Amino acid sequence: MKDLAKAGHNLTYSFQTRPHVSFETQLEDEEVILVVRKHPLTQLQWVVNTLLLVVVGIFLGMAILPLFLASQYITVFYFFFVFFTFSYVWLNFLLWYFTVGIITNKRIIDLDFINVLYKEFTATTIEQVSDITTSVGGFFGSFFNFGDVMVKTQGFQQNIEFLDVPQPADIVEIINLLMRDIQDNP
Amino acid sequence: MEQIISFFTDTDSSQLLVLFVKAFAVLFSVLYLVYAVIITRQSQEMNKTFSSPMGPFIFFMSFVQIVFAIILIYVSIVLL
Repeated sequence: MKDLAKAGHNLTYSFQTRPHVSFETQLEDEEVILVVRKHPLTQLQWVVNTLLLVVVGIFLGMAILPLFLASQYITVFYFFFVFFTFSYVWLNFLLWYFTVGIITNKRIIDLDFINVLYKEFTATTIEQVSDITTSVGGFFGSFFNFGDVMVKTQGFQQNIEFLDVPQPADIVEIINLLMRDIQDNP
Repeated sequence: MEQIISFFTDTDSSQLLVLFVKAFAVLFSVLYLVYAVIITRQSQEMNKTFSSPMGPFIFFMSFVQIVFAIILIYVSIVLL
């Protein structure tokens, strides 16, 4: 299990302990213990799309467009192509970077950006957590150790889901430790 | 009306194609500018919701898109 006492992160910043971050509704005595993001392998789809886009763009610019367009049009095409590809990459990066699960010493927070214009913020206190389940499935999930963590809460409170996050067993262990701490020191 | 008709009858097809490409290039660059402004504004909101040491870099990279859009508008008008 990760050492919770000191700050650290994995290679891709998708599992950060005690990071230097803050969030909008953070309370004064609330301390961020863990921040998790989707495993980078789950972002492979848009990375592959980008590579395909680059290949198609270069092919169009070098082989197809010169047949019927003057050189200045091809230059403009490359300008458009590079900037649009950059925007596609940047948008997907932003959505990955800001869709986070945050575990503090008081709450568990799920911050989802479905698209740039739509944000979903779900939070529950550690005391309200009644059950935590993890599921790791598939070849990539088992091999690279990532999966889902479902945090169920008492009553009609909304459940929290961290999807495709790395080291799900460690996340459960951290939440269990926090639950035990709160039970011992109410 | 006659001027419009004569414009389409007197100009050859290559000139029409140039006009068509230029109009589309300008239109798309203006739309890209709108998109870039929205992304920059939203990345500011995202940074406010979840602040990290990467915040200034994220804002800068989003702002770069506005510069890109202005370059696109310039290129569409001047180069074409």
